[in-house]
Amino acid sequence: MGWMKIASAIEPFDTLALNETLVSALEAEAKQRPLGPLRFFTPTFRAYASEELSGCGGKNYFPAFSITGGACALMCDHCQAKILEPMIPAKSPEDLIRKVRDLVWLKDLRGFLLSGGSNRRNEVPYDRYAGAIAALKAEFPHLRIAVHSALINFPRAQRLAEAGVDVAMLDMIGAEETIRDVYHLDRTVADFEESLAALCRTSMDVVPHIVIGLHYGRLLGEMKALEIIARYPVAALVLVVVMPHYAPPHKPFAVPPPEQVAEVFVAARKRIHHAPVQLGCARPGGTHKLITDAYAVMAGFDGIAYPAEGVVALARAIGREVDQQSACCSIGLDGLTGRHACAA
Amino acid sequence: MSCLDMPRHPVPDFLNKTPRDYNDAESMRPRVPSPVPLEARNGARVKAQSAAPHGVYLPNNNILTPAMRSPAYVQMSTAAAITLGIMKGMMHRTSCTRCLNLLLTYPEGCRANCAYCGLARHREAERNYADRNFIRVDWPAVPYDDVLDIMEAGGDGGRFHRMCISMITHPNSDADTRVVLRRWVERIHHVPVSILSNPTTMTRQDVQELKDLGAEIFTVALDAANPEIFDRTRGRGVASPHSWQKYWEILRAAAEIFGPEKFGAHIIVGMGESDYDVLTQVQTIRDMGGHSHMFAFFPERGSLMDHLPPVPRPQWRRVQLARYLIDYRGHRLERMRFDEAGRLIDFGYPQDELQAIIDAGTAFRTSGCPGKEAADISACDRPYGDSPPSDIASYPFPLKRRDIKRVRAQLEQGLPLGPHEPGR
Repeated sequence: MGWMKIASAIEPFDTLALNETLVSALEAEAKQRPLGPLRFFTPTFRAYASEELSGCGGKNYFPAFSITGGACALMCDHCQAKILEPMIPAKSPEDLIRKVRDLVWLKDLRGFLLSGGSNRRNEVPYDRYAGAIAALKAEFPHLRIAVHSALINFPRAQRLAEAGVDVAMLDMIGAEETIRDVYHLDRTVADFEESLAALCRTSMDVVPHIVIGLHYGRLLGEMKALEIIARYPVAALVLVVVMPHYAPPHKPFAVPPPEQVAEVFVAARKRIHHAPVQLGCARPGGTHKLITDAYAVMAGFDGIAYPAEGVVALARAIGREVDQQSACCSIGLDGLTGRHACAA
Repeated sequence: MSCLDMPRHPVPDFLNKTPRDYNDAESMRPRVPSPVPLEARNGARVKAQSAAPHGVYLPNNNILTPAMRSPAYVQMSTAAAITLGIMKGMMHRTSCTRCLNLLLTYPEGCRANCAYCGLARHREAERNYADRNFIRVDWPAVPYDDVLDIMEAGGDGGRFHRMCISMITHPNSDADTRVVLRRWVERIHHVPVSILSNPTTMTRQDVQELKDLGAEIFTVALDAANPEIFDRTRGRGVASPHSWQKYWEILRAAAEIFGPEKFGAHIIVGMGESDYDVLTQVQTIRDMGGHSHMFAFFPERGSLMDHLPPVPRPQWRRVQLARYLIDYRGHRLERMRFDEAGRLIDFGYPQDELQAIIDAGTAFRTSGCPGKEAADISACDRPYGDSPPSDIASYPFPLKRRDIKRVRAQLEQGLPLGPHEPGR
């Protein structure tokens, strides 16, 4: 049975308009190169439960901390510091230590993401947290610690690695216009690549993200960003889709249509063979998410965070092995499965 | 092991030393814990050995501590185990307790680190969780099914007037408390249940759910009588996760959800607070509709305050009596007088009535959730939980004339009570 037929037998895909040409192409591609196992990630950043997967109910608890609270000097058009809002503020190293300790005791904390708002140069002031990270890692060696590095040079990246950070994440941008217009930032694509290179020189697992539709909902620098990432020994690549509702009213974002999103999926799967390619938690909801998730499953992604209802069934129906982990897809609780080889 | 045999060493014997008037904040500082080796953290030793439990586990019994976990297992006080016939033993001047006190149990133990408590996390360094002393006694671990079977068959001889679930601080304790409660309510209809809560992991909704499942009384172990002592003994001062604010949030929720006479708070006297601090909390809780359950500070062996003196009896007796007046005689804090240090110097209560209350002795009995006897007599009598039998702080039985005489002398050491006609 073809994939279109398989999908149409699964609720809610039975009533959704999947693109037949695209699905057939993905199916043909999969025949050439069989799809591997698929892992669903359900981290505790938010409450999640579907009929197919239960939330983790505090198990393996994995929260995000912001070292600047809700403050960000950059205020990019796609985010407006809204991503920081639900994070737990940790405005001093002492505050971070205390909150992490408490959560280890009370919630079986298994790791955390350290994030924060940027300065005007898209750098986050992590330096004074190195001591706190090292202390926490010494006290609780089991913790997996990730950092949203933003732009960073080698010495600063090395300090984070030496403190014990396991994973560094960075949003890769492949278009100068996007850096200028959306980020209001006087930096270049080369600066982003340099940060990626600096992170890759450390012992940290590097997990770049590409925000699909970052240029006001249009595809612009995504393919270039993929090209750059393909040259570095990253531990995983995470794709997310821009969330238009964070944007300011005078600079609205379009929602990139799922078929366009899928173009990047296909390109990513073709370019990145040396590391898992995963669909991250940030993406528009509703029907868009259902269709996007279906394409990610069919494109052969290795992981999907917070899958839409029905996606697990779809993955099984097209013959993919599935499992679940209650961690952030960039981090994993047992490490990432990426092959740490440089593809360059 | 009964509480009579409980080794006191290395607790120094403060009793009979130069009389102190009260335990001041300066001298009541907890000591710093020794570091816990990585291989001992989070119950790692017990989990690594993973010995399967067989029936009742008696603490410190020279066998491997098995990996026991609620809701399959619960711990109970030595007094409760004697009353239930699970352990042999004799208690000083009493044969039973009226309250079946249960503690949830996990190899990882309680994740809090309260300075006065024998269950505190820092004790991982020297003792597995199920082997730790708490309020001066051992807590045997018993399969919960056995407890229910014995109770259903009337094995306690009707002696238990109440059951209490102590939640301890653990990621699973909210869920497991609900299981233990639900199973009790389904099978044991004649013994009401109290919850000794763990506010730190709870929401208002959790409080509501326990009420809906059939808990009768909800209590919060505030323990410290002011925010500074709280933070020092069970918050940041000892790397423990509790906060005064959160405890009061849950206590207020309990007042609304459980209603008058059906909620309460524990307060320990003698940790460096003033009498005024304690009685302010007592009055506030009474105004909300609840009751205060008092504990005399005792240096628990192995705790971070095991080097400190127990609460001097004069301080303890006057606070105990004042609390009784507020909780059960409609008296008010505003009518009492205190000196600049916050010590109670005048009860502001008619002298003859005060003497009668002292003579009745109820004020000096263990305080806690009531049983079937009277509203002001606690089912939870915790025999010798806050003192040795040689110098009883909270009497787990009605006071005899010689006890009253002793209590009166202790009261008068700190606070002249005026003329007294013996035998009234």
